[in-house]
Amino acid sequence: MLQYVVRRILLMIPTLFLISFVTFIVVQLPPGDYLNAYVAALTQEGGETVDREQIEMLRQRYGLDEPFMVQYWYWISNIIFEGDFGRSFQWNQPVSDLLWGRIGLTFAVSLASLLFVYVVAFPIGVYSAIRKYSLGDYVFTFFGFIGLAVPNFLLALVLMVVSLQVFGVTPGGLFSPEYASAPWSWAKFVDFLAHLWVPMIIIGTASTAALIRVMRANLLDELNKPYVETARAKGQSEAVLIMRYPVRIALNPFVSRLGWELPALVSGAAITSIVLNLPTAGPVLLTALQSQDMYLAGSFILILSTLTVIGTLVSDILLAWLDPRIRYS
Amino acid sequence: MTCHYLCRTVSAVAITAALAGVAHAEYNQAPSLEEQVSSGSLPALEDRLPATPLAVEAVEAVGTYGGTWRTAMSSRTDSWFYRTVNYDHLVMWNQDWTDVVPNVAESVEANEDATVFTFTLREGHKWSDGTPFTSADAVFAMEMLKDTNLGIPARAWRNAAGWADVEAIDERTFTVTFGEPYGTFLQDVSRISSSEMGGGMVKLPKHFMSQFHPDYNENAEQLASDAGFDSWADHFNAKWAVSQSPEKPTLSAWIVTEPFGEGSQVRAVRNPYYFKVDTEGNQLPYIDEVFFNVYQDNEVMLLQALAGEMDFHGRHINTVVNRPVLADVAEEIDMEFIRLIASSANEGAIYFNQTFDGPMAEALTNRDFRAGLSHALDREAICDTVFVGAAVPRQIAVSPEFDPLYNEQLANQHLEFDVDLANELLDKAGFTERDGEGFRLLSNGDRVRLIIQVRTDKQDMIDIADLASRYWKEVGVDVQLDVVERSLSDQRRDANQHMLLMEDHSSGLADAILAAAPYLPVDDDQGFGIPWFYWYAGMDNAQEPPEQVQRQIALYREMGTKTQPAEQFEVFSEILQITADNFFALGTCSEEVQYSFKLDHMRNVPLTQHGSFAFAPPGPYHPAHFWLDESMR
Repeated sequence: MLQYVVRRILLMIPTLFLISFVTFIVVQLPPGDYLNAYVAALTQEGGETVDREQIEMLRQRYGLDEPFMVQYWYWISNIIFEGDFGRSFQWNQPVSDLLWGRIGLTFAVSLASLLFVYVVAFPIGVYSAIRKYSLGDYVFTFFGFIGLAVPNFLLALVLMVVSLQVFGVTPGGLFSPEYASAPWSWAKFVDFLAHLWVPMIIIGTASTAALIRVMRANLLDELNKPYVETARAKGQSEAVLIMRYPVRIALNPFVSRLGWELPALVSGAAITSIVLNLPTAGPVLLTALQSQDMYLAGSFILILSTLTVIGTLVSDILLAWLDPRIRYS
Repeated sequence: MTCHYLCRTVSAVAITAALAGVAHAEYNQAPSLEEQVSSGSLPALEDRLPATPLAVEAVEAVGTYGGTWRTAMSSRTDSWFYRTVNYDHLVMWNQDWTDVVPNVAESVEANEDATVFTFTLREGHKWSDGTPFTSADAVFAMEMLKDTNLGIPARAWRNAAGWADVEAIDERTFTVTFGEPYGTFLQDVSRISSSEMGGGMVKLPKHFMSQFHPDYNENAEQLASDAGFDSWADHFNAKWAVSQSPEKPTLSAWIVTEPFGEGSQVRAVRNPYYFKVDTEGNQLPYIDEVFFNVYQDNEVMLLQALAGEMDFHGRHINTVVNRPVLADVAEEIDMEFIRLIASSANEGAIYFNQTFDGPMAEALTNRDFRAGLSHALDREAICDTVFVGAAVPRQIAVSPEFDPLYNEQLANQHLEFDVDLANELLDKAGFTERDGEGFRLLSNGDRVRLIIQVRTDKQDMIDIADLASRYWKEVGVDVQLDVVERSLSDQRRDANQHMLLMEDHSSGLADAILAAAPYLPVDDDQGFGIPWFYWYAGMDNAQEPPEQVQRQIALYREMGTKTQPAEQFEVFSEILQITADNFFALGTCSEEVQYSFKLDHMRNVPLTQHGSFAFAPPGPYHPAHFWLDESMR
């Protein structure tokens, strides 16, 4: 086990290097560079023409005229040796100032919706499997499929319109205006919790639906197996029996899911976050990619990849611990 | 030094100010400031106002203090932010947009040939932290604009001969000198610029900004790295960025207290040192604070407006499509529309590349061919389809709303939809032979197959190009769409690779002379002669333009020596006549009217405004004197 963990951790290093490199290539793939996008944005704003000489000057200052490898080295070496992620052209700020607060909130939202998903999906999945083709199963399945089919951002928009029409308030954001820029305090935390449930539910619905189906299917497979019959024949009570054996095995996807839950929440929830005006990573990443703000986009992806790789490792270890059948090679 | 058109307006304002001063020997201030003064945390009002504050004539009525103006923005350099809380330049547009009047500066004079401009500041004018604003600030600011390490965009402050020289005469007076005549200098200072330095001189307080520059503070580099920046220049640039730097003193009516980037909102509160008063001597602004919600998605921004939570807004969501949506709730939330006079030379300008290198040049450079294609378009149908009637058919031209530059031929030639005439002109142009599919052929036997390059960011233009290509097919001309991302479109255009290029332009009113590219090649924001622009600017890859275009350029340079708008318009009209005769590009639709909207209780906002970006609405209408009428809530 220990050897396995060490090997996996060592493997993470080249993986991350590869990710950082590919990220940097992909961010730079579109024609032009940040300044082209910047000039385009300025002219789009309305008739503004930009001085070419000045743009050339900026290009030199930002090092955008350097070869690709030089730019990459500059970026990655600063991260490794100085922990400096460079600066965001678009925001005119050091990347690290933008990064950590948003990553933190992204995590909070992700964890909250993950919890929501588990808490809702687990009992319903188990119920649907045990009471297969019952009225309850059909009702849950029906809503599950609707949840799966409706895009999250649309659900968010619909909820916002409904809340505007019915309650006369516009939801959105993670804080009330008076707390948005305030330092963290108990009051702010409570305010945060009061706002959290909306994105939590919206982002969670699709995963919930998916997980209910997975749980149901897995459990159905297990329920007919001989060991269940055996346990039942031995007089084990039904509730203990189901929870102790088949559910434990059917739980695997819950755990293996952990690893890729995070990137899915960041990329998949980007549009939802934009609609809900959440100060999380998704929207910033999207605009950074659009404007080719390469250090910001690259750093975001690098950090999230790191977290994903760690998440995968954790979920693999958990899975190995949960299911003795899994081998370490 | 002779007195030019500015003197007239200067003295008018000076008189109003003087009268205000006499009639109201005592100035009044907001109650919140009153308290601070009596508690001793703020100097008395008389010590905060300049000796000659700018007296603002109210649009409706003298207002009352208080309240929050709720609105929205979407990016760090959102023009709505500059236009509302930051339009305080040395000089500004007058409200009819026919002239430039003093604002921060008390007066300005230009010399005979428009090379030297002398600004006089207001006596006792102070930054929002109480430090005097003097000509030393202007000298410092110019130094910073010139500093290539910083690369601050500041187009107004240089012309063909290079950067301006700024020299302090005394504490309140400084001169701005250019190597070549620069007749539109004051207009350029009055415009806003989304690259932040529209205000130039007035956004770099020396006493604050100099600490970030190594010429003034040897520890500047250390300061930068302590703050997490790579270089002092990055640090400096972050510190003057208005929406991001709450510590930086300002001359504007509101001071940013919650900057852009930390949360999903930006907040700006009253500047106790603001230099404007109303006609009764009440210090402006009336409104306590301006609150911007920051949105990434315009649909969500629209929700805020629909909920009646936007007091006055005029960007992002005031689109043709949203108008009925807003009109639906207008009565319920007590909202009214503001008519914006649109500056739209064209919403779908189609440029024929006159310098294209290839067989298709034969078609592109033929005037009858272009006229034929123009007659082939049913513009009524196109404009109705794409703009739901909010735009009218027009060539690329100045709008009839702006008389001094309106040219009937330029606006309306070859405008009517006439397929027979179109075919006749295309035949006359020499493209009589057709292939099996009915498409016209070049003299070398190849099909006339043109590619029109359109940007992805404007669906309107894609729709127009799509419809146009169908009409052209009817007259036997094969035109294919190439829809590309904006920066790629610009790149190809600058490399002169396009055949047809579609762009949209304001430049339909007084701003035509400021952004003249649709009419003559003095910038790259056009598609008929990019190498001609290179020739004009003395750059690489230049081609000498034909005689009549050289004539236009000569006239344009002549216009630069005029300081009076009327004279400038006269010369520019001559340029426009040549543009009409050349007909290098055809237009499709022009927007006549745009709109913004406000709630009824937001007062002193004119219900008809100039809508052009260059005019920066509502800036010239003095947002500081807008007020919230509690009795109307």
